[in-house]
Amino acid sequence: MTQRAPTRPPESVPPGLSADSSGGPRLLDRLNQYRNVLVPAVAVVALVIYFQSQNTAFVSVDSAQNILRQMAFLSVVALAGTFVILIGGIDLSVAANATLAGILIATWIDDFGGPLAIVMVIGVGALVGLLNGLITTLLKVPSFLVTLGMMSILDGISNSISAGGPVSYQSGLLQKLVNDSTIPNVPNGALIAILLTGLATAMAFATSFGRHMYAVGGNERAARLSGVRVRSVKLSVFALAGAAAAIAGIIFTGQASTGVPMGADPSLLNSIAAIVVGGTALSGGVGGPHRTLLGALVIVLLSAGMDITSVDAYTQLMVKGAVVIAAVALTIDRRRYGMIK
Amino acid sequence: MAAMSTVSLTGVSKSYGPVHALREVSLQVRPGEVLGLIGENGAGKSTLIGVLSGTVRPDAGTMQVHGQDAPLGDPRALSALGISVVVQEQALVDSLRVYENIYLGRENSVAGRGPGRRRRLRNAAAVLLKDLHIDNISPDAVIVDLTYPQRQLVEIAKAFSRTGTGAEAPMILLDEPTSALSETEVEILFSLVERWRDRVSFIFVSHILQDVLQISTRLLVLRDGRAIETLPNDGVSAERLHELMVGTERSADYYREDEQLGARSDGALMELRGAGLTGEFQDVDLVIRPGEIVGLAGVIGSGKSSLAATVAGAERLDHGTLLLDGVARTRWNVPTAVREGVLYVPPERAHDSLFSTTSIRSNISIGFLDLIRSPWSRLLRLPTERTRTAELAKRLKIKTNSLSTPIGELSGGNQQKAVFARWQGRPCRVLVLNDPTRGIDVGTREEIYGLIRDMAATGIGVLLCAESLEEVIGMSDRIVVMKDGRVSAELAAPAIAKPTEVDVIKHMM
Repeated sequence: MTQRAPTRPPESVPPGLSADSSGGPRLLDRLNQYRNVLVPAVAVVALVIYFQSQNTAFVSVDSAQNILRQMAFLSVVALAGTFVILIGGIDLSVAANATLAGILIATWIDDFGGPLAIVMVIGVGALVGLLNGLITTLLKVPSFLVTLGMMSILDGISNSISAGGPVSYQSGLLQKLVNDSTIPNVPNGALIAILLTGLATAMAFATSFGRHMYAVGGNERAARLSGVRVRSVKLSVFALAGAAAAIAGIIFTGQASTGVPMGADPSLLNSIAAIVVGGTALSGGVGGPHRTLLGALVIVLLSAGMDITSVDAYTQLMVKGAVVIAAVALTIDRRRYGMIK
Repeated sequence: MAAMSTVSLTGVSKSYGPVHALREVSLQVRPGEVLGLIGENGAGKSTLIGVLSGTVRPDAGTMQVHGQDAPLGDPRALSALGISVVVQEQALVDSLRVYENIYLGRENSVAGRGPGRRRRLRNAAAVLLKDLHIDNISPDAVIVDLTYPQRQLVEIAKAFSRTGTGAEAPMILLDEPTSALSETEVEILFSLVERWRDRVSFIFVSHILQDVLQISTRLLVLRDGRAIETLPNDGVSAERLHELMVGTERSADYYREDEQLGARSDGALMELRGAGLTGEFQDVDLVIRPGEIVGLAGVIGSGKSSLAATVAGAERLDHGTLLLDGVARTRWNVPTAVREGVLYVPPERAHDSLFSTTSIRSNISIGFLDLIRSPWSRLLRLPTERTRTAELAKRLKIKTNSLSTPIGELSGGNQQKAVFARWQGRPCRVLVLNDPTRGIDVGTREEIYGLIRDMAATGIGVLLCAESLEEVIGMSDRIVVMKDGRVSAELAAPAIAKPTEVDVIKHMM
């Protein structure tokens, strides 16, 4: 544009007065306020009751272990996605990033030794995330497009490294870290997921960085005008998401005992479903890591339940897609969008 | 006869919460008339235009077009009745061509269906532009390639394009059409208005009094949402209009002028030298001294608002230097400014200040999170956050049951108090206020004025940019008047010798 348009007319709608004039029934308002927590909690109970009524094996130690194992991976991928969604963006490359990490750990663990390989893999994941962030902030490309492209790039890299086939390794470290149980019947992978979620939750609520994350997602302009270094928050968040995705990839490979090309990729939709069902709004600034753990539980219960009641794989795909759409439709804050495209 | 009026409004009122934007306003426009609408910022002009165009639905009142009741609050229906608006904010689609924009949504009725429609539309636009003597714009030009004044002319052509079809005389609303036009372009516009006046009635709204006086046949003065006076435009002086716009009442108590202390020392706390921001302001020298309240006055578009934003670090200077304590600061941005105690209250609360879905507590503590961090663990001390925000909310009398309530549920006044509370939680040296009382009720305004006085009394330098002249005069020790991006005057405003609004306005226009 050659010249700035004059400032908007001052009296047309005084800001702030338009939003709070609803004044509907108070009880509904109160319930509505907790809707994002109530929906997944009710869903968990309903799913357990329903699948138990269909197949009595659903509530059992075996089934619970299976659920925890699936949770371990899914909740960490979803955690990675949660950070970016909290700042109002979206990272579609988390699952592909996890796949790459899974291949890399299988490739490197015997050569470099377990601990060093793990650190390197997490470092690569963070770098990929940082790259997403740099392209988004510096070139001002929408994050969904950057990360969609990145997803394809990462898949290409994973397949090149693994030559399109599974990558095996000798080290027993991942078995110990992921599948063994320190607490009886609870695989360590699930403990790692819970620990990470706990740390992320503490970070979200009790650090300046966490608060700034919500501020950027809630109102980027207001965040900037309140003294938040918006760009550095965004870069950190993307890097953090990349690191978390890499950890998810390591858990995945630990569970599969080989590096699998495209292995973690199908979990992208599930991870977004977990985030949204948990109550983290796609518009940003609302929700949090703890919510995602609950959301992941809902998705895993649904998936495990459909397995145990012999719902075929194609039907499962349709159900999961429908769940994502329904969850977004239920939670989206339409006031934030002038138009839905 | 009243039925001869093209358009008439009777007893129109509109409130936004506690703010009365319009009170019992009536007006009539007859064919062949150009009604000039004038008033200060906040007098209700934009709301009245909104009512006439249908984008604002009034709380009370009726509207008649050609003697028949018109549907209020329905822009499409009013547009079908022949009411067109050329507004400050342009309603053109950037990526389309001129002719496509002119007939947008009316392609079928203008050029029919079937092959060759594009050509027929283009030809119609070419004829229209030629007829309107708009020679420098091709109907094929894409809007995004046009300058702002050119787009303004396209908007005007679009409004005129509707007049050709209806048999009855419709109305065109021109809202600040000349503020971005050059003199020749203004001349083109005025000759258009003159030529079409017998077919179309006009309502002309502008800050620029000379323009209003030149083109209008009748004048309507708005003040505080009321229609103060309608008078024929023959021999009315600009001075007389100023007086009508401003009124006379101004209370010294309201602004606590008895507590006005003035600057504590001559040394500058914050200073701008030869400051310029492309397209906004240039060659500005500005000094803020400790304890001094410096008012910024000017019409919308004078550059005063972006000047305030620049001092706060929200915009970056293109030219000149910014000095804090006599030291030139090159990388001046909001985070740095906040760390140095230069704190900013921006104008558009909902867009610039609030995290509306987040709690009042978080909205307050975002201003001083770095101060409640435990030095060794880097974690926030949440109990300290609770007590500190509760203290601030109490001190500023924020009315709410719980600080966990999302701030979007508060009234505008309480929201703004929370924004002030945000900055009360950390050391402040310069407070930059950009229209701090916009859309706020009278009681809260008074509290905010008291707060500003108290802060100035502790040696904080205040830069107050506001749309309300009364507020700027009442609060300031010194008033810097901006016009067309330059400082046009600097007026002393001690409590004992406040300049009148007319004194200030004459430097604004």
